[in-house]
Order: sequence, then structure tokens, then C-alpha cells
Amino acid sequence: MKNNKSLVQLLNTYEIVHPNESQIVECIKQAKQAVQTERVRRDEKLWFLIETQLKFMRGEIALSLFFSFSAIVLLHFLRFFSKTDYLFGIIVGVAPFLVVPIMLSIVKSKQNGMLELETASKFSLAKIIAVRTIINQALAILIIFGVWLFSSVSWKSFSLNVLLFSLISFEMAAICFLWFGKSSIKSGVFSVAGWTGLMLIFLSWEKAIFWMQAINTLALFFLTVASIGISMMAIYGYIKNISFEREEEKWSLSWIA
Amino acid sequence: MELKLDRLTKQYGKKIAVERLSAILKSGVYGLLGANGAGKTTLLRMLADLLQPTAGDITYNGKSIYDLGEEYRDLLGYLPQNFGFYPDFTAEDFMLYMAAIKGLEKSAAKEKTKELLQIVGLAGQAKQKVKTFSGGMVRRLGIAQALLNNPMILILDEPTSGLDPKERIRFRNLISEISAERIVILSTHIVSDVESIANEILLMKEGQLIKTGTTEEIASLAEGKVWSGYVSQAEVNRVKDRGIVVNIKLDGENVELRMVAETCPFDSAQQVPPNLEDAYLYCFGEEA
Repeated sequence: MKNNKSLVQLLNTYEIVHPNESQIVECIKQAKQAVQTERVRRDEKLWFLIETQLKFMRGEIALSLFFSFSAIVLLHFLRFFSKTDYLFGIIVGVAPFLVVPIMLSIVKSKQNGMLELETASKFSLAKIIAVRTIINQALAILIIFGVWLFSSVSWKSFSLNVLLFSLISFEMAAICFLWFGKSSIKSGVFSVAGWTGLMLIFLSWEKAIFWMQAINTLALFFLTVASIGISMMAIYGYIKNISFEREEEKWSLSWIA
Repeated sequence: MELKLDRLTKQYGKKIAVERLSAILKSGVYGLLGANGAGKTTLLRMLADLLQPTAGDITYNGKSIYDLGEEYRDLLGYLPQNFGFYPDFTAEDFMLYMAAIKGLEKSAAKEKTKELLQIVGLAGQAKQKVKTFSGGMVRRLGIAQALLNNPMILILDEPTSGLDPKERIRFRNLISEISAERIVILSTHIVSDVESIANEILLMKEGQLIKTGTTEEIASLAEGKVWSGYVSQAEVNRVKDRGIVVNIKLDGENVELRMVAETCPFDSAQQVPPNLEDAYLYCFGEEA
């Protein structure tokens, strides 16, 4: 479709009313090149955005990596769980740290009064947060994959746990979005502290294996429901081009989530 | 190029911040003047696609800016009243960050960053962290970031606050240079900032546009109401309640007074031609 449009434009540009075969071939070639150039430019812009966002989140990522590896080392020494549950324990224990960068990045934007500028920019805040989330998730999956390589857990079990991890991350992101919407940095801190505290209680409890399994099932159910909500929220946000500076939309967003 | 504001209204609960405001803006510099709480920032935030109006619409070349979305914001340069920044970024990093979220390509971003930091006089501080900058330097960085995407619509909310006189002159010259084929909307309390560069002044009061016109047309609102003359120092307190004092200047034993008043405020006072500041005080009185 785009090619046809470009072709017509090119023919008009050169005022070619009755083009011969070679002219048509040339025009198609030029139209294809134009589309290709446009695609390259778009990709370049996206990579530049990812690069600057990565730079922006470097402190948070470093902090998150430090805590993640500390948690992995701690869990490795504790070894409360059988192999499958050990991986699950790592995922659940480490997950909060892996979602820290995205949460802190949002808090940082708000604290530094950058929301207005970011919202008024071409890519709007919703898209910028989406890019940050992608960076964050990619990093988290890499860590989990790294852990799996050294754990000799089956691929099936690993995939299930990664799915669970993704759901937990989505849940954490939902908490960020909601609390961020209510403009409270304290809530964000409590969310991380509360989640971490809960994990530590379970890790230090002898009956943790049983309870972890029970929570696994329950969490899976609730997180599935939550992830559907988050997906709806993301789609709604994308379609409506949500801005967190827009009061009316902030509340409708919270309501959907 | 036309930005049309059609019966624009913004209401927060029972408070109406902007009420049925209509205007057509074409290329040129527009000075938005009004007292605190007149609705200037709310209006600018609506123009910057940050706030949605309760009623009315803003159209750019006939299309609603809310339908245009990304396409409209691509044309926009915005400097908010409270300009935020990431303190640990260097000036250069901050500009590149802003360029990326404005959708510039890396090579163009680098080039533009260098050029703009030079223009606002921050080229020497490009590698310096923003947290070490003075208020004036931060403001200049804010102006530079607003110009990154070569915006067709430039919205500047109090751009000169915190700038010293030399920087203000430099800013005024810069705006004059770039204003051709662009819409520049400049909100300020400093009347002299818009007096020399604005093609049109928009006077806002209680959420409404009370008057629009050229500097001369707005100044003429105070025609026959501006007085100047000398009084003794002892008389100043007695006289100053008869109007709004624009200027007091000590001159030996006497004081030179410039006032805005409906009738002659003191015997030696003579009518003088009004300027924009006189008209501003005449329109907004004590609010100003």
C-alpha cells in the first residue's frame, strides 16, 4: 500500500502521465528505497531512545543487579528447597529487585519534575515507560536464564517459572502504576520493602516448601487475573495515549487496573 | 500555519481556570500577559497537550491536536514554568536524552545539541553536571531543550525568570531570530520581555482573554491615564493612594512619580504617553 502511494507520488513528481516499463521499474525501485530508508530511520530513533533510557536507568540497574546477585547467593547458601523450588525461590526472591529499576525510574521522573516535559515530548510518557519496561524485563529474563544454566532444572519447569516470574513482574509494575498514579514515593518504598519482607519471612520458615507451593498456585491464579488487567491497561494506555499528568485519565487508568 | 483555540474551557471542580477562550494564532510571537492565577499556565498546558480541556477544542491547521497526538507533539517545543531536569546528567547528556524522546536521530541530536548549547552560552559547560548549574544556567538549558526539534510551535512559560539582563537580551534576540514561520507563545510577568519582540499581546484575566492587539494597541488602553511629575518626599504617601504608582525616582529634595490614574493625581502631574507596562497596570490594577 505504502509502495503504491510512493509510486503514485513519484510519478506525479516527475509528471509522468504514461510511464513506460523502465520508468515504472525505476519508480518502484525508488519507492522501495524510500520505504527502506524510512524504516532504518525509525529503527535508529528507537535505538537512540533505548540507549538514552539505558543511560538514564544505569544507577537503578546497577542497584538492582547488586541486590539480585546478593539474593541469589543468599538463596544458594540457604538451599531450603528442592531443585525446582530452589529456582522458584530464586525467582520469587529476586523478582522484586528486578522490577526496582522501572519503579525507581518513574519515581525519579516525578521527583525531578520531568513528567511534564516527558509527557509533552513526541514519544509521550506512556511509550517512554514502555521502553524502560522492555529494558528492565530483558535484563531480568537474562538473569533468570543465567541462573537456570547453572541449576540443572528441566526446561519445562524453567519455562513455567519464568512465566510465573513475568506475571509477578507485571503485578509489580501494576503496583508501580497505581501508586505512582496516587503520587506517593512512600508507597513505592513500602511496596518493595513489604514484598522483600514477605519473601524473607518465608525463606526463614522451615515449612516454607509447602507454603511456597500453595502460594505458587494461588499467586498464579491472582497474577493471571492481574496480568489480564495490566494488559488491558497497557492497551488502553497505548490507544488513548495516556499521560500521567492528565488527571482525568490517571483515575480511569487506576480503575481499569 | 494556524492554531485555533475554540471556546476553550478548563474547569477544576467548581473553579474555572480558563473560560470559553477563543483565538487564532498564526506565525509570530505572542506575549501572554496576566496576573497570577489568570489561567496562563493552564492555557499553555492545554496547548502543550498536557491537559485536556473540559470543553472546546484546539485545532492545528484544521485538525484537533488531540487527534493529531504524536504528530502534533512532534511540532512542539515546550518550556514549563517549573523546568525539571535530571541533576546527575551533564548538560550534553540531558540534551541528548530530550532529543531521543523528541524523536530525533542520534547524529542530528548531537549536532543540534552542540549548536544550541553554543547559542545559549553553555558550550563550555556541556560536560558539567546540571546540578552544579545556577538558576539562570538551568533556565538557558530549558530554552535550549525546547528548541531541539526545530519546533513550529514554541510554548515558553516564564522563560526569563532567573536570567540576568544580559541573558534576557540574548534570549529576546534569539526568539526574534527564530520567530519567522513559527508560532511562539511566551507567558511572562516581565512586561519588557514581550514589549519589544511580541507581534501580538494577549491579555488574560480570570481565565478569559480581555484584550488582544499589538503592543501599541494594548498600550493605548491607558491613553490619558498615565501621569508624571514631581512631588516633595513628604507628599508621596498622600498622593500615592490616588492611583497606581508605576515608578518612584528620588531626585534631590523631590520625587519623580509616574502614576496610572483616572484623573490628575497631583497638581504638577502631566499626562504622558502610555507604554505596555502602564496598560498592564491599568488593566490588572492591584492584582498585578
